Parts: sequence; structure tokens; C-alpha cells
Amino acid sequence: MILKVENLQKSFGKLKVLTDVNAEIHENEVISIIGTSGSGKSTFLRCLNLLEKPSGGKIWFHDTDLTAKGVDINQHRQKMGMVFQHFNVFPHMSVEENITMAPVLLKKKTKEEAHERAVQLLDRVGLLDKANTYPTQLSGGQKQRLAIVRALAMEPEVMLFDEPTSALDPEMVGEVLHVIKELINTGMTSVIVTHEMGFAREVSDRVFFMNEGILAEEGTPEQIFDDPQLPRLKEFLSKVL
Amino acid sequence: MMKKLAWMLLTGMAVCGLAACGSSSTESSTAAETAAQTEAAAQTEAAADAAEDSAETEDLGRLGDILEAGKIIVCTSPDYAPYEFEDPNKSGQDKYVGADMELARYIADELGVELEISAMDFDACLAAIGAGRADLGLIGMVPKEERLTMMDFTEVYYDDGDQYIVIMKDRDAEFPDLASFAGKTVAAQNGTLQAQLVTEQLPDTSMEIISKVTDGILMLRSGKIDGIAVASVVAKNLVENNDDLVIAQEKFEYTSLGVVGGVPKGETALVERLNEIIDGVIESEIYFQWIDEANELAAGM
Amino acid sequence: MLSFDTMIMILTRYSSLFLEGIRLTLLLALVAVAFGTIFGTLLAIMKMCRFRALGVVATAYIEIFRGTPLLLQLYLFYFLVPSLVPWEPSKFTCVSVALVLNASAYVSEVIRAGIQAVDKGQTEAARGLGLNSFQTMYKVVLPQALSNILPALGNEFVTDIKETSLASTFFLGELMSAYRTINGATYITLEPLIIVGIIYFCLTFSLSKLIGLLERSLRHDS
Repeated sequence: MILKVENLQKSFGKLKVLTDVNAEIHENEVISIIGTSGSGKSTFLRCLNLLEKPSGGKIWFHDTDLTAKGVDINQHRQKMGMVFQHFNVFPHMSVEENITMAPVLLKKKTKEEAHERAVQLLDRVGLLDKANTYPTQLSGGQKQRLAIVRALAMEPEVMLFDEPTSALDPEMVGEVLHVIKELINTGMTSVIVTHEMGFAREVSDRVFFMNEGILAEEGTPEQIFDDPQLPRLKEFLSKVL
Repeated sequence: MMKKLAWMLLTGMAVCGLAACGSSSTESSTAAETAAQTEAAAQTEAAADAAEDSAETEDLGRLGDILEAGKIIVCTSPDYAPYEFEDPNKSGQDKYVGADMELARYIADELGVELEISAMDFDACLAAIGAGRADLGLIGMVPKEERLTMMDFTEVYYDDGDQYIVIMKDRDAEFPDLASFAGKTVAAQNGTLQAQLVTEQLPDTSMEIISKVTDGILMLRSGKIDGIAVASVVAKNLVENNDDLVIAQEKFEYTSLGVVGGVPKGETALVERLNEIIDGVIESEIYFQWIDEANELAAGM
Repeated sequence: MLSFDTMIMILTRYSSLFLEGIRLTLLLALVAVAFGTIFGTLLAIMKMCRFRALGVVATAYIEIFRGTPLLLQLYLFYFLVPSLVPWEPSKFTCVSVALVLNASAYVSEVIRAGIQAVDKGQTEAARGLGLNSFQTMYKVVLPQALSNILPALGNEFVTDIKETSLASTFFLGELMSAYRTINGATYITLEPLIIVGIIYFCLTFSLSKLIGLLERSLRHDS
């Protein structure tokens, strides 16, 4: 087991976004999280690497409770890659610098190693010819591919995707999903918040359905999509499928 | 009369102040004594020496500090020819010229110390003297009683003489006497003797408050005002430098209080020493010569 | 009323005063902005940091210095600074201290605004990679904030050029003092005033244009 969530709660002021979430994620597993907007699925994902500080409950990463006092969260975040809806690539760095900055700064790699790795990664996602350009010259899909390899350069044990294709023009969704799919095929443990139901069904080992701040239903893609139990899930699926 | 009153006021305040200080220091000194008794006897000698030293400087106060440091700080507002202004052809401390600056140099020489002139505007000078940031202020200042709350005065070192109204030359005939200014506007600098004279002696005249005499000249030329109230030296300087100006025929009814220096409060020894020096200046009538020279210098600018 | 000949006369006779005035005006403004940037950055960091107490102190400082006139601050520091330091500070020092402390308050807001204008996602991405808050600030946020901050700092410099005229209260020799000196000696008002006004305008106008160019080139970069 790589991640374990116990009684996770999160409030923004008076607004309770997560009331009580329990989940386990195993190594090499691919989890998709679906649900209506406002159901708390993004907040849940962002709690996993403490980008949102939980109001209550525990997050276990291997044997460490990330919510405990004195935990160096920065160390653990290095092992958890994160991909955002709005890419958040660094506009003041070249494409290659975007990838090499963190590994070099955090002393995971020497400059030469980081450069070699960046070349490999860029080649893998078809951006090698853009290595020395700046992100302003990239399309949305290219930016998201860059964001994915930027996270991979830190050699993470798990990848967290927060609606990675929601901000993309429709014609660019495919190329990004393709990159994620290839990554999953290498055995990368992944947690993906997504609205792409076909994709979720195709790649996931398990699917989480979140509703009103709790993990309402979970199961294999077949169980969730073909045999939903909760009326809320049935209603949701009828709208999106 | 006013001077006498001022001195009485000052002495009264000083006495009250000393009394207050004295009573509180007796209390604290008893406490100090008790503490001192527990101290080692070896320190007694050193303490006595220190007390002697401090008693010496206490007598002279600021004058002692000046002599010890070998420097006197004089503040001035160098925008008031011929008393004090700047000569752009000179640099450093030499650029401050005018009769008051000659006096400052004379005083420094007599004291046998260096002179440091600190320039700032008139109000800042008053504040600097009050706060003790200057040893002496020479700003062509009239001994107005209310200024005694923040400083002491030296003796009068120069009598600024008659007080005039400067008007446009081509309107000279319009103003044969003070009464003819009724219904007109006369300018005076804020808080000056002239402002007081306009208020008292020209009750039917509206007063325009100006921050500088030169602003008044502009207003005079534009017809916004009809005259500027100024002291005789300034009036002379204005008329000499500006062909279109003239002094109105009737002057204010006024007996001069003279010009004094400002000294931080309670510095009796310093004031006494300065007055000795000023006595010499008055006797030799050298200040009048400085005024003439300064007028000449200003006219050449 | 305004005599062209007088202007020429003043300009030639007092050219050294004007040149020294320009030098000191620029020097004072530069000191104010340079040190103001250092202290302003500290204030901005204090205001944005986790410890509420520091933030309250910084906010109080900024509000007080922005909420009282600079002239008042100049007076206050002229009388206050000497009692705070063991040596006898020059007038230039006192005036500089006041200008710097005043500029710090304004610059800190410029810096804070510049930093807060950087997309929050940038911080999240950096923290998500495992950078600590200092590394995030240094490597990701500040370089981007700089392109917001630099032009605003330039504008602060232009403002300070004008603000230094208040230092003429203490005859520091900057441009406005040059006017007061000429005026006090010659009793000529309008001509030196206009000359000084033209010099101020040339300084601020050309600097504003330069800043505009800088701003545009920074925008091209990003």
C-alpha cells in the first residue's frame, strides 16, 4: 500500500468540502476519481500531497503520517508528482529548465544527469525540438505534456492528475491522454481526477465516485459504470455518458 | 518693557523648573546614597573625581560643550538677504554669506572655535534651536515674546529700524499715507513683525499672508496686492534691485525691538558669553558695515 | 512679467547650482529607492509571512508612513534621528533616513502587489515539486514578480525625484534648494522657479519614457 487516507476532513471556513473520506491506494494501481463539480474530488486529490492542509484525519504515505507534526512535507512531495488543470508551467524558464530546475535545485541530479533525463523525457512526449523555447510558444496540449514530464523528472512514486484535460481545446485532449496512458503502461501508480469517463473506464483499476464530501462508491470500472448501486451515481452517469 | 517681562517670565519658569528638579533629585539621591554605601570604598575616589568634572561642565552647560568640541553650530535660513543668503560662487561653509553669517564667524573667532553653519528654513530653525540641535540661531529674528517659550534670546545686535510698505512706483501717488491703504490688500510674511503691524495699524486693509517676500513682489506686479510690509533693510534691498518698486511715503508707527540671536533655553553661561561678544560688535558698529557689504553682494547677484 | 533675458542670466550665472541640484536630487531619489527597495522587500515579506504579529507590525508601519505627510516625517526625523544614534548625523543623513523610510512603505506595497499578481498556480506547481517556500519564492515567484515590480519601482523613483523637493526645507542643495538660494539672494522669483520646473520635468519625463521602454521589453520576454 502506497497511500492510505483515514477520516479525511477539509473545511474552507464554514464550508465543509470533505466530511469523512477513507481510501487506500496500492502500488502500480490506477485510480480515477469521478463526481460532480463541488463533490470534493479535486480537494481530495490536493490533500494527498498537502497542497490543501486537511482539517482532520490522516494521510499515510508508506509508513509516514503526512499530517503529523514535524514531517518534512517537501521531502515527500518530491515523490508525488502533480499535474494541474491549468498546467502551471514556469513561463520564465525555457522548456528544458522547467524540467531540470527542481531535480538540480533539490540535489536529486547533477546538471548533466538532469539534462540527459530532460532530453529523454522530452523525446518521449514529442517536445524535444522545443527544448530551448519558452512556454509562451507552446500550445495548451504541449504545455500539459511539459507539465507531466516536469513532474516525472523528479522520479516520483505516484502521480496525481487534477483534471489534466479540462482546460484543453478538444483537439488537444487526445495527445495528453495518450501521454498519460503510456505512463500508466509503465506501471506508474496514478490518481486521476477526470471528467473523461471513457478514459477512466479504459485505464483504471478502480474508480472512486465522490459525492457531497465522501467517497460514496468505489469499485472496478465495470462495477461503477455497468452496475452502479447508488441512485446519485446512476443519475451522474446518466448525465455524463 | 517687553524684554523685561520676558526675562521675568523666563526666570520664573527657570526657578519653578529648578525647584521641581531639585525636589525629585533629593529623593532619588537618598536612594542612590543607600545603594552607594554598599559599593566598594575603592570607587569613592573615582566617583568624586567624576562629580568634580561634571560640576565644571555643568556650570558652563552648552558653552562648555562648545569649547570642548571646538565647534559651534549656528543654524540659519539662507533665503533672507542681506541678513543671510548663499553665494553660488562659493562652496562649503563659505557659501553662506550676509551680515548674520559675518556675525557668526566673528562669534566663532571670539570663542576660538570652528563654525558649522546648518541651513534650513525659518520655521525649522526655530524648531532646531528649541530642540537644541543648534547652539545659536541667527535668522534676522525679532525678539517676539511667544518665542521665549522655546528659546532664549541674546542681546539685540542690530536694530532693523523703520518698517515700510513697498509699492509699485507708478502707483506712488495713490498712497500718500497709511490711511490710503484702506480697502486695499497688503502682504506680509506669516508670523512676522510686519504681519502684526498690518493687523494693528491697517485695520481696514485686508492682509495677504505670504511665505516669502519675493512671492509678494510677484503678486504686487500682477496687481493681486497693493503693497508689501517689510523691514527697512529689506525694503532698501528690494527697491535697489527692482526699478519698478518704491517705498510708500508713510512708514508704520514702530519702535524697533531689534534683531536677536536664538539660544536653546536655560543656557545662561552661553547667553552671557554671546552677549559679551555682541557688546563688542555693537560698540565697533561693525554690523552696519556687514549689512552694507551684504547689500552690495546681494545687489551684484 | 517673465523676462527671457533674466532667465538666461540666471541660467548662466547659477549653472553650477542647477547642476549640483540635479546631482543631489537624483542621488537622494536613488538612495530613497535603493534602500527603500531593501527595506520594502523586508516589509512585504513580513506582511505576507505566516507569523501574524510580524504582519501587524509591517501593516502598521506602512499605514503610518503612507498616512502622514512626508514633510512631517522629514521634520520628525531631523529631530529624532540624532537622539537615536551615538554620532552627530548630517542633515543629508537625517533627510535620507526619512526619505528611505517613507519610500520603504510605498515600495513594500509595490512589491507585495507584484508578488501577489503572480498566479497562485505557480506556487502550487513549485511546492508540488517539493520546493520549500523559500526556494519557491526565489526560483519561481520573484523572477516573475520582477517584471511587475521593476516598472513600478521606476515610477517610485520618478515620484521620489519630485518628493526630494521637500528636502529644501533643510537647504540640502537639491534642485528646489537651488531655487530658494537664488530667490533668497536676488529676490527674483518667477524665472528661477520656471527653470527649476523645466529641469524637474525633463528629468521625470525622460525617466518615465525609459521606464515605458523597459516595461515593454519585459513584457516581450514573458
